Amino acid sequence: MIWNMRRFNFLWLILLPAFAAAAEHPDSLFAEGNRLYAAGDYEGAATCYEALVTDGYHEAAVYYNLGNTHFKLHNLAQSILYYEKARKLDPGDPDIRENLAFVNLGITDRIQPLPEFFIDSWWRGLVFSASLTTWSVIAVVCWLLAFGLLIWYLYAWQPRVKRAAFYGGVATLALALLVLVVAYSQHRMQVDNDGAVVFSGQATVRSAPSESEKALFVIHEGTKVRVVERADDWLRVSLPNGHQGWIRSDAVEMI
Amino acid sequence: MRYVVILCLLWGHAAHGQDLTVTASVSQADITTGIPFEVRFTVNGQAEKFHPPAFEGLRVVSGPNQSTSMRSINGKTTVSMSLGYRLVAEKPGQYTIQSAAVEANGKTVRSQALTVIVKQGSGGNSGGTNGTSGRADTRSSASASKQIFIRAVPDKREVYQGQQLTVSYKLYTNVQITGNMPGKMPALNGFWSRPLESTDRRTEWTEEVVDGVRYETTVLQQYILFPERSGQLQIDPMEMTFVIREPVASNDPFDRFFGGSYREVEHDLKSPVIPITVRPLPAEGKPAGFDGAVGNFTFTTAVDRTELKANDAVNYTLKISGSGNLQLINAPHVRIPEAIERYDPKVNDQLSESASGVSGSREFTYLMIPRHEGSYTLPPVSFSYFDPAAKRYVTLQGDPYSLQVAKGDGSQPTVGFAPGAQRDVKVLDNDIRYIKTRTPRFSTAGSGFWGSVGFVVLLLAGPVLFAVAWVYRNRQRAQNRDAGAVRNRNANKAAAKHLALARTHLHAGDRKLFYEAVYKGLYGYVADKLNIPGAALNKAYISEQLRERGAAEEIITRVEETFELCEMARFAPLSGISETDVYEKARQLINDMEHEKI
Repeated sequence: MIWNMRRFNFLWLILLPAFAAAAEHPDSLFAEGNRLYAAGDYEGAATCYEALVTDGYHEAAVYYNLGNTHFKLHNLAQSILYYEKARKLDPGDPDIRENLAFVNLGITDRIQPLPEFFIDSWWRGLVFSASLTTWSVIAVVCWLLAFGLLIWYLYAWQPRVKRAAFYGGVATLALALLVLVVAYSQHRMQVDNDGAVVFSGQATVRSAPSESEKALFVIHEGTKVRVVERADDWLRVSLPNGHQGWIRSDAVEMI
Repeated sequence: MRYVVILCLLWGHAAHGQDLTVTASVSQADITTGIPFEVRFTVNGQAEKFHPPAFEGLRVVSGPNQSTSMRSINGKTTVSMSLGYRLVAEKPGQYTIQSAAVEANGKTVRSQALTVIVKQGSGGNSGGTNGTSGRADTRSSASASKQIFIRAVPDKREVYQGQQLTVSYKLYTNVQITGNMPGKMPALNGFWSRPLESTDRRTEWTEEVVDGVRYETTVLQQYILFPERSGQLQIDPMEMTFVIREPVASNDPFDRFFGGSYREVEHDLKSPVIPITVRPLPAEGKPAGFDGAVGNFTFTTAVDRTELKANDAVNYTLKISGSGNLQLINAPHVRIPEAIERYDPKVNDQLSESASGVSGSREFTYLMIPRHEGSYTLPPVSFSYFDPAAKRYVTLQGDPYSLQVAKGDGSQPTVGFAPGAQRDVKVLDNDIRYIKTRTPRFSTAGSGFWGSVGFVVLLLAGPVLFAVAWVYRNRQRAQNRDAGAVRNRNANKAAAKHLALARTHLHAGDRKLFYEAVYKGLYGYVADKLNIPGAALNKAYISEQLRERGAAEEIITRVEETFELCEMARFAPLSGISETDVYEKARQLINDMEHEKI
């Protein structure tokens, strides 16, 4: 991934010249947050990182550091929320996984997640093996190359060259489409917010979106749920073990 | 830790400070002759010495049976001790048990005196209930004590501290013994004692004369004693009860004829206390390494090898042999170089205990493992003991040794590299991982390349360029096709023009120009029809092209014939065919080709 980033550095600069100019501000804020964290001023560090998030810099590193900061401040639910946000952006990062697993030991509910199908994890690994920008650049390059080959096919006079150009073009086009699908998957996984973390000390999950309905089970602070459906102030949530029910939307925070 | 010790001392002091009381009690109110009863003295507090009363007129069956209890309530410790004596009254009447005295902290406290009234028991029961004979009916009298007694016989009366002595408890008798009961074994306080087990189970009797009287004697028990402290010690008495057979003077002549009648009498025997003087070991001349060994010893040292490889083991043996307090000897101080790993010594005793004392040997074996190659020196070890016979200290020197250690064989498993010597890294605690300090490439949400205008434009550019290329190529191809059609359309016209010119030349009689015009007309027609550039025109190519376009073979033959005729006629006059025929032939051919729609 680093290799890829470096490789497409020049593309970055060509495509987004405004980016370099804006980098000054978030870099110094991030460094300041790290300095305060190292000094033990977790409140101050949290302020710095949260300012970055408010400014729209949704970076896995920022969320990860925020998770660490809130863990140090003993805000369990917020810590889990930020780690989950970080993991959504970079699921392959071992630090994020490790800390999330560690912090999850501190929550009340022990929920055995259903084992993930191995193809899913492979696909996820492929999708997140490079950044969205890297995938986008690869897709565009393949796409343009494919059409270049096809155009060559149109004008080639010698039958052998013509054939090679045609098959090469079709294959490259298929590759470009696959990379586009990968990039789109990553984009969807990052953008979709169907995950939520319980923020209230405990929350009752009911069989229907009403306080008068039967209470099915109680979940506690820090537990991660998946939002299946929304209705006014209520969310239909699903636990990793498959249990479902309705919960008040103010009891949880979307990842 | 130090406070705990002080606290303990304070407790002890509190126990001492508690008021010392002694109470005496009797176990039962109805006392009959011959039935044992118990007198118990209960001492509250820490007694240093206890003086029992004399129990005049009463016989002590057993005692003192001592028990101690300690209770601590709210930090206050109370100690109570009771001493019980089982007594038997021989005769009825009133007995007074004198007060017992207890000494503590220099004070003496006395118990109250007790008065007991003993009634006459039922007859025949006075002989005790647990005699082996069952028929013993009379207790011993003072006269019998000359006939049977026990003595403790030490082999020395004066010893040094730590010097061994042997004491034998011997039975002297000149009456017949019919039974015995085990009594109280001596406590032998102040001595480290080892009872001597006799290998021979039989009792060996010998004769001995004491004060002019001949006795049969036997050794009841022997002890090897090592005095643990200096001063006046005593060899405690041993108590045993024997049943002896005494002749009874009888008036019955019948009895006298058969050797008279006998009666069985129980004797409670107790050996007299023997004082032993224990002298302290002399202070002058005491060697530095002296560790309390007293006796007569020899000292040898040995190593099992002096040349070895690193990580090989070597045994260093120190052997002390002789007689004396071998069991109390500790390992002599051994100085082993630091580079040699050394283990605690293994002690191997080979001792024999006999009436003359303990003798044998004690071996200390040090296992040593040099970890690195080199030359090591083991300094000589010294061992000191006190010889009580010579009344002086003796110091013995061992031998020095030099160990030559070669480089270790790598194939040999060493203790340091043994698989079992490795331990897992112990996890002390868990914590989250540290924050990420590497500054990420910051970009605001939605500003990435994905979904940007440039991305969409580049994606669209591909198909758009392709479409443009497609359209352009098609148009070009169509244009080319149109140019051919025009030429095809105009072919007849051009041929007609050439043929008209040929006709003019025919009428003018210019044969050469005529054939040229016919040739050009036919050639141009075919070239235009087939859309062939003029340079590529030759007969073979034309035939091929015509054949490709599906022209009839008859026409192709005629085209070839006509071209041949024209070529020939241009250079030489033709015979057998007139110019008019050639003209007609060419005109007819063009006409046919036009009809053929080539």
